[in-house]
Amino acid sequence: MIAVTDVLTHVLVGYVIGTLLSIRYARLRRAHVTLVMIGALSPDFTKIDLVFPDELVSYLLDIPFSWAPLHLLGGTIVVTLFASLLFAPEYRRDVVVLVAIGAASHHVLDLGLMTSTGYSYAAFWPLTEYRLPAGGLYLSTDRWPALVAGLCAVLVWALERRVGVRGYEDSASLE
Amino acid sequence: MQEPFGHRGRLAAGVVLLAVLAGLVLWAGAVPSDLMSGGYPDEVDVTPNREAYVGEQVVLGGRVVDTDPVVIATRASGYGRFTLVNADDGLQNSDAPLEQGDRVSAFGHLEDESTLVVDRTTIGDTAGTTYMLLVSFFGGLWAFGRFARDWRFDFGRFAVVPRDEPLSLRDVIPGTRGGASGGDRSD
Repeated sequence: MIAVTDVLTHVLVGYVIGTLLSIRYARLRRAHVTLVMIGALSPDFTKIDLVFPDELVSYLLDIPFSWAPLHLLGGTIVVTLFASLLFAPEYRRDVVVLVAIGAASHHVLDLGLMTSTGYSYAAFWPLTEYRLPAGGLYLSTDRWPALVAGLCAVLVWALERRVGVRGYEDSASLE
Repeated sequence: MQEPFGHRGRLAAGVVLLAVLAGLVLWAGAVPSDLMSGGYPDEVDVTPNREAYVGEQVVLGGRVVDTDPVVIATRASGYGRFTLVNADDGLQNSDAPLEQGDRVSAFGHLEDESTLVVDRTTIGDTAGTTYMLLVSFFGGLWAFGRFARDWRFDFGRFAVVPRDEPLSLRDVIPGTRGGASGGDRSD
């Protein structure tokens, strides 16, 4: 059984967090909110497993292989740092911080999932294989998490418009 | 801002990070337990080698093939059958008893080679899975669509930089905006 929250919920939560940050910190613009959203779905890059299953890669390379680290602490850090290198130097710090915030929200949501074993995944690997108890709040196939997250997204969207549009007009540079 | 360690430094950092990532995926492959789950032996481990797991806590996923008593088949062929004791009592996400064809994940201890005494069961949801894949697709489309609107690749700097204003559909569909098109023509 697939024990991940659906990607829409993750992205909506990323939008909510990013937008709240942009309201709090005037420096942060629309493009920064997008970074939090990308960060929030980034651990699900591990779903590349659906296209290139572990067993297939393992067979082709003739060596044990698993995409799981992409969805665990170590892989999340490496992917975030690598992604930041793709950006121009002046944006890297923002990319690391905002993507990391998004990724952290992803793990918090996934730890809330219901599992039959009562335990979640080895989120802190490779530091430890310890598994936190599963939150038991929802399944990936439930509809209500996306509904609740969507409602929050509409609320912060409205809040942002009331506070004032911090779009591209009033901040010419990010520095 | 200039590259702090030059383009060579940036390339070297990228190579090092990819090497670390390669190390992690190979290391994780060698870890005996499944890092993405609770770490208990599952049906893939148990079904072909039942006697080795008798008395242990295991998690078995499968399809319900009989309800009185509850029997699941861990293989799509209908083989790999286990009888579940207390499956309905431990059901976490449904009030109705299990029915034939339900997909379940049952956790408990393997009493003998064909009996699992269940602590907790979760029931799968086929319609929910379709829903989940569909909305996940749109969630991904939204996030990456926004990224393409807000950021662009600057070939001169060989790096991703923000656009001056979000790209709109008018910028990419020819003939819908007069004059200079492309929201990224600012520099």
